[in-house]
Amino acid sequence: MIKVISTGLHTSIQDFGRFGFRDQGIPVSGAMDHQSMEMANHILENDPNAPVLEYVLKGPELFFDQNTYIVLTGAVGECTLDGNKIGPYKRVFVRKNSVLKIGHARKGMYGYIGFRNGIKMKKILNSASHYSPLTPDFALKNGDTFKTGKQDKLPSTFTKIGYAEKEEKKIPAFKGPEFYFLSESSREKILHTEFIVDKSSNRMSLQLNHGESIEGGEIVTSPVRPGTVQVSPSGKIMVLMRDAQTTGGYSRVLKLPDESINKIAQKRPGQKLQFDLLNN
Amino acid sequence: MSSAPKIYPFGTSAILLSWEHNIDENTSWCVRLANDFIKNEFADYITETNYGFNEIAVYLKEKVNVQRLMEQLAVKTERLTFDKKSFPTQIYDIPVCYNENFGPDLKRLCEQKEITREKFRELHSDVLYPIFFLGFLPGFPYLGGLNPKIAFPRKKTPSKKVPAGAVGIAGKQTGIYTIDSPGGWNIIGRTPLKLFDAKKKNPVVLRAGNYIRFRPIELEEYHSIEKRVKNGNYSIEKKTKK
Repeated sequence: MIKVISTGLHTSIQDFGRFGFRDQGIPVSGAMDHQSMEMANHILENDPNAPVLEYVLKGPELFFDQNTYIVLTGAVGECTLDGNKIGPYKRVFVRKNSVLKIGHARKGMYGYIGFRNGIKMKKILNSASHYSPLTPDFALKNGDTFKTGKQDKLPSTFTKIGYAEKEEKKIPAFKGPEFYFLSESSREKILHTEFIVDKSSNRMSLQLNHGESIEGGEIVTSPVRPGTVQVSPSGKIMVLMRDAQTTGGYSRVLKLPDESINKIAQKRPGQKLQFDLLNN
Repeated sequence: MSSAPKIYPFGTSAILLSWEHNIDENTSWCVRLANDFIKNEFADYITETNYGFNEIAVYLKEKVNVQRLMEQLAVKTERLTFDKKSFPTQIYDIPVCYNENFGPDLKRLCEQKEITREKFRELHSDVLYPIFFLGFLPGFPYLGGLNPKIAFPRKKTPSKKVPAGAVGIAGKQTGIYTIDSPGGWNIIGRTPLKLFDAKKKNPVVLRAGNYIRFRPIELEEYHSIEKRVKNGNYSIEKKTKK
């Protein structure tokens, strides 16, 4: 068993999310940065969909009541195990009665803690991902406990995976269904403006600030998905993320491929980004 | 559906089928039937679909060739015809208490429309509303058929919290909030039914393709139904539509 001593800013359990319920208005949810989650499970030789912990900027403090193999990926800062520094992207063996502390991330927004054979969690609609009101809570609370899968022995020969913590400003994107609803000048600005991530951004959407006059529009309610970039009539730009609603009424001017969703998820409030148009 | 849809890729491993963008009951009904057809015809290739008034998003299984499936979808959906009479549907009975407490915007709407509250209630409840699709919130039904006499624009400043069960009007639409949520709809009443219940195996009660009828109730009945819902001995009444 593992106990949450303190949760950090917002720590939730995530897998790839729930599929098959969008036509009932139920969001997909799942890890904001799929790549970092996949990497965690890959390093621990887990099922790719094994549930992990996801935290925002500052991670949790955990007490381990069991021997456990873990790994840290995504937005990682200073982390200690019983006071000793540990690094990301490699297997770490945590001895029973140890305390893991995850500090402030140096770069990025969403960090992940993977556990050998994943977190054991009751699935709701085929997923362990937190999403309130489907799950009673929207994240973990101080004092919560959880179990992991079996901690069978892993070979210790596994070396650290090389991983570039590169920060790219450019976010590759395709034209969305309503790209040509925009005026030529608005289209130009969508593609050439440096946007700034707003502090209200969360698991549902990233809002992008700008000082330009960009005019979007309304459409009859239509499907939207993680990666849909919406522009409202007043020029508000929203990049829909993993907990986004399933339908929406604003013009869908761009769409991000999955790799770009992972990349944009790691942008912090205040950081700059620019879209880079891909050919459909 | 007289015309073929436009077909685009829709992000990683997804395809969007788009018919003319206008809200018309017949098109929306056909989009829903086209959705059932696609789910059935392409079951081996797709994980799920969802749809709005005029569009269907199709999500593909891993390693399905998007381009090839787009071509196949184009062929199969070029000329779709449906006889909507041949599909059996049900009518959900939704009890609603239209009073000032549950419907804080009711008085204002009645004044603006210059009709009595009784008339308003009659115009709102004396209709069979088709459920076109679910979206916006878990289980939230998009309904057609609102009487234009009680259509009313969305509020300029959304309320911070609209409670689950609130029945509202926004533009030409009426709907029911299935969970607590911020929202800009004018709230005219409340149902004691729980249309989204996370504790159930199937948390969403309503299904697209059926109809809703609102049944006006007084406060006393509201409380009695509310109690039965809480104790788990109220099941929503359904009639088969002839």
